[in-house]
Amino acid sequence: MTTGEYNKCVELYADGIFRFVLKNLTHREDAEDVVQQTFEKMWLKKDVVGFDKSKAYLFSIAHNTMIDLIRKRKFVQAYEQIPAHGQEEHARSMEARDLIDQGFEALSPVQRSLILMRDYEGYNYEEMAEMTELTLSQVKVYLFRARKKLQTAITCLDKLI
Amino acid sequence: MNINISNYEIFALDYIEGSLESEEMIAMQTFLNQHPNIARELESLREMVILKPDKSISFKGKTALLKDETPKIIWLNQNIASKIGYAAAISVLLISVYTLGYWTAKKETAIGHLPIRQTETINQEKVNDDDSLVAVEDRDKSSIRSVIQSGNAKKANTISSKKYRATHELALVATRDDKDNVVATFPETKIIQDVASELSERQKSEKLLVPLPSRAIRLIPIERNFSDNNSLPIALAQDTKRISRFELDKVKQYLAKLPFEDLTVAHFIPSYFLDNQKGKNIF
Repeated sequence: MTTGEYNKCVELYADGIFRFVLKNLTHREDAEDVVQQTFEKMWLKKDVVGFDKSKAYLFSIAHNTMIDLIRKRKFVQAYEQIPAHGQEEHARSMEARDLIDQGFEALSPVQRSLILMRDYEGYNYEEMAEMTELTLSQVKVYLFRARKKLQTAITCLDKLI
Repeated sequence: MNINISNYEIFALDYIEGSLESEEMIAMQTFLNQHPNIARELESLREMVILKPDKSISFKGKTALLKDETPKIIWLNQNIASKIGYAAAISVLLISVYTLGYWTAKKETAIGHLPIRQTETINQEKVNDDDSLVAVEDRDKSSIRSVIQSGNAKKANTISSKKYRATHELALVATRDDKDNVVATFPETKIIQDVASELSERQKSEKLLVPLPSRAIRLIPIERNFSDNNSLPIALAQDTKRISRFELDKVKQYLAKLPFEDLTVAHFIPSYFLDNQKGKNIF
């Protein structure tokens, strides 16, 4: 990968990776650190990583860096309220969004990563297995359980409200 | 194909998404018929929540991640690299000279006011191009000698009686004489080093050494006397004949970069000065 291609990766993928990490960590500064480390790691490997594989490579590094961070710090979620966007949304939508956020937070870090890889970036199961270094069966099972948990959490929270 | 309670989760999502193979689909339906609770659970997931990224969130630190795409200049030639280092050293030393010049100017003793009185002519008969020697004049009160004498008279005599073989490396010495004038000259490096070794630490700090572009001036044997107290401290021998235009231009170019505004070629090339003294104003 050339320096130009690396810079193109920054332009193309930095936002997506940031959203992916931020959604998972819910802590802006930590998310920024992870993105920075992710690109630094890729820069060091730019001679062996092709531009065509760069996106998957970046998400893989971001995922692993994030998991390491969570394990290392035994991440206590100091939930930093992500600024509300789309203020024109009516109250009902905001409530639904909050429910989803809370249900999502109840998932394990790996489950959150899988959900985001699938929903945010549209990766297929094989690609996700490669990026997370899990088996294909593991990915499918973890993701299924994550979906189920998310659905259950939302239903339960909805009933409570 | 056997789908049971232990492995159905592997096929669950593909079932919901409708991407099971026909054989797998049959096995899955068979399993779900046996487990209606799981069948209802999977049905409820057909309307599962799909998260959407908030596109308004962006990473602010992109600029810091970008790398410079300007092609790098790689010095393949070690000589070139050493010249760059040499140029850097000159720059540092020139700044030092400038600082000294500024300090002197504040004392209203500009270098341009230094009289240059040559009481003896160059003994051209003794010139031998193959024996490039520069003599340090040990008589009178030359500036460097004055500095030395103020610290150690005996050593001054010892030093000034020496003769040194010139090398290709020239240097500008800027120092102060006993009247606090800045005095600059181009003695041969070895001389400077030897003189410097004899100076006290305090005096060393007042002495600056600036390397010249190599071979800007050719050194030849010469002895010069300065009877005047304010004369230049050390005379640099110059070609007994005319300095070439090329060489002169090089010297002028170099002098123009020095911080001493009134410093002229004549300060450093006595023969050129003498040749042009006869009714000619060369500066």
